[in-house]
Amino acid sequence: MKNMKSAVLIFSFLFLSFYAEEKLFEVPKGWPQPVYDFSGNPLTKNKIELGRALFYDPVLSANGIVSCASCHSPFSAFTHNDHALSHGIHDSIGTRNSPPLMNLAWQKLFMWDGAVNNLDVQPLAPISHPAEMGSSIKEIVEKLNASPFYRGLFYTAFHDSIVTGEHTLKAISQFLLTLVSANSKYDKFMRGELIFSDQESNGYKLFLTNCAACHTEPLFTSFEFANNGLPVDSFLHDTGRMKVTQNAKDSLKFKIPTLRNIEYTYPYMHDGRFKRLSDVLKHYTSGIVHSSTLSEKLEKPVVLSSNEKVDLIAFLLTLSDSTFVFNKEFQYPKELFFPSK
Amino acid sequence: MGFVSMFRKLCWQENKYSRDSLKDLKSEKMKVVLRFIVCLVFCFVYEFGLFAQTDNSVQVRIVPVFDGKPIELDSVSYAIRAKDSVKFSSLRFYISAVQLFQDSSLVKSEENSFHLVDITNPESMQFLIPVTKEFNTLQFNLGLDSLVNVSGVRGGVLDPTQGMYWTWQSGYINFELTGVSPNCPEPRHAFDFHLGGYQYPFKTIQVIRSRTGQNKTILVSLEIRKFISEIDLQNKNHVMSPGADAVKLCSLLGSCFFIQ
Repeated sequence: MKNMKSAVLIFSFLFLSFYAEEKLFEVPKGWPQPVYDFSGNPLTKNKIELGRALFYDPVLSANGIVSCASCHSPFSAFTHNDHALSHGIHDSIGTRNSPPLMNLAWQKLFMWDGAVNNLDVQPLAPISHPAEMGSSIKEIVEKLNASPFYRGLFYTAFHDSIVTGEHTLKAISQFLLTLVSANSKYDKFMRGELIFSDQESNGYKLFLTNCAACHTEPLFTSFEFANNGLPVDSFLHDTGRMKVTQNAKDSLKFKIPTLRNIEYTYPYMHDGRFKRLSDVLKHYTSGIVHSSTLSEKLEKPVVLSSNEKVDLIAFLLTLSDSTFVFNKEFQYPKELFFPSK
Repeated sequence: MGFVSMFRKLCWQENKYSRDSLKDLKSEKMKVVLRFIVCLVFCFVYEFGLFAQTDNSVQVRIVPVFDGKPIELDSVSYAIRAKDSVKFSSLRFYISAVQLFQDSSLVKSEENSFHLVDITNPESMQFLIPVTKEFNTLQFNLGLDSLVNVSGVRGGVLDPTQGMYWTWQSGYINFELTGVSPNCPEPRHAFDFHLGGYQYPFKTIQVIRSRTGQNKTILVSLEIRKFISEIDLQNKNHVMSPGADAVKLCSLLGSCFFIQ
């Protein structure tokens, strides 16, 4: 038993020394520690690359047309902009707005209602949903095992050419974990690299007073669930988190989304009902529906003059991170799918 | 067995594929040496495990039965009560955290203790536990604990390709029983029980604990009649998500195990 223990210790020490060589993920200065357990899925270049291939490959859908990127495109901070509700396989329409993908290593629960508890298992939902990819992880693993291209990539990444569900999902997680957005104008301001305009400064003050309680810095979300006073859509009749917890106290609560890259991620809210940021502000100043589960932070009305709304939006636009959106490492892996000889 | 090829794999294969492999020869050599050591340590641990297994072990056999006889799928119709019968089409469940006790003191905890018992796969219905000391009690979980349910994707019997993981909501299905009964509604007359849930207040995991005999084989039977005859199949034939029903049915299942 004692021998075993020391062997395990040596093993983990050596393993960590491999790992420390490559810096594939860094916690931005001033950010909290991520919640994702990297020790169970240590990042490597090859695994990230495999994950990127899987993310962009429509092989994940039943008819080979829909990929993850169909509803999570890089140019819109990995959401489906201009679509209130995303469409998947056979042009079926879903019931919720696809969320942007960024800074996922810090997120505890996934989906608008928090139904998914770990990044690794998150892709199972869209893969299996009949209106999204209409497939199953089993079917995908069979397809990948039949592909010499993927068997090669899995071998390179995992030293095992037999594709498994575990390896497939871990590779996708690896790519998703690298999607860190921390280089917006706001971040540069915080790092002292530039200064805000008067309008942006005033917007920041207004943000701190009116929004920051839920959209907490530096990730611009508290990762909690809240009812933000939206009138219930009579067609979708989505009760949000209550579906998962089966607790009436969670009725109409949805995940508080990050505000980072909000310029690119329109339309807004869980059902994409607001096209413009001005619509969103209008909701918070004059559209709140009071109910028993309404967030207590919204009990007191938010008061903003029209000039203040303009300033607040100017601040929100400082959260756009173009280096994130255009990062070459995150784009369609053309060189992998179509190598030039 | 296979160590040479394993060593090769670990030492060389990555270099062949890695893009930056030739950047720094020195560190590459270091890498190879380090990996060699890792291999040695790994082999040691592996061998150690093998020896322990062949030495002294007890076999645990898990057999789902109906009236004490092993269940057959599809073909056999089982009478539950007058004018009510069932045929089963699938029966699978997770067993985890298998432990042996001598009275109240722990003798042995099975390592990596996860089993997906599947009636279509006889191998899944038995396993060996290496043990050298005396014991008189067996304990295991029906289902998987919350830690397994929240800690991301796992391989082997826990791989989501096994079809025992929910997709729209995180969590494993602890117990699956499906089939048909004439009393279930049209069109398929089917019943589907996918029972699971790890979060309070809908936790479904059951701890099963019982005295064992002195034999080298412990027989664990799961008496399905006791389970299915308690269910009003006409009105309750689909439980496929965590909730109060799943909790009730799993606690019923917990009382259906018999250990010899």
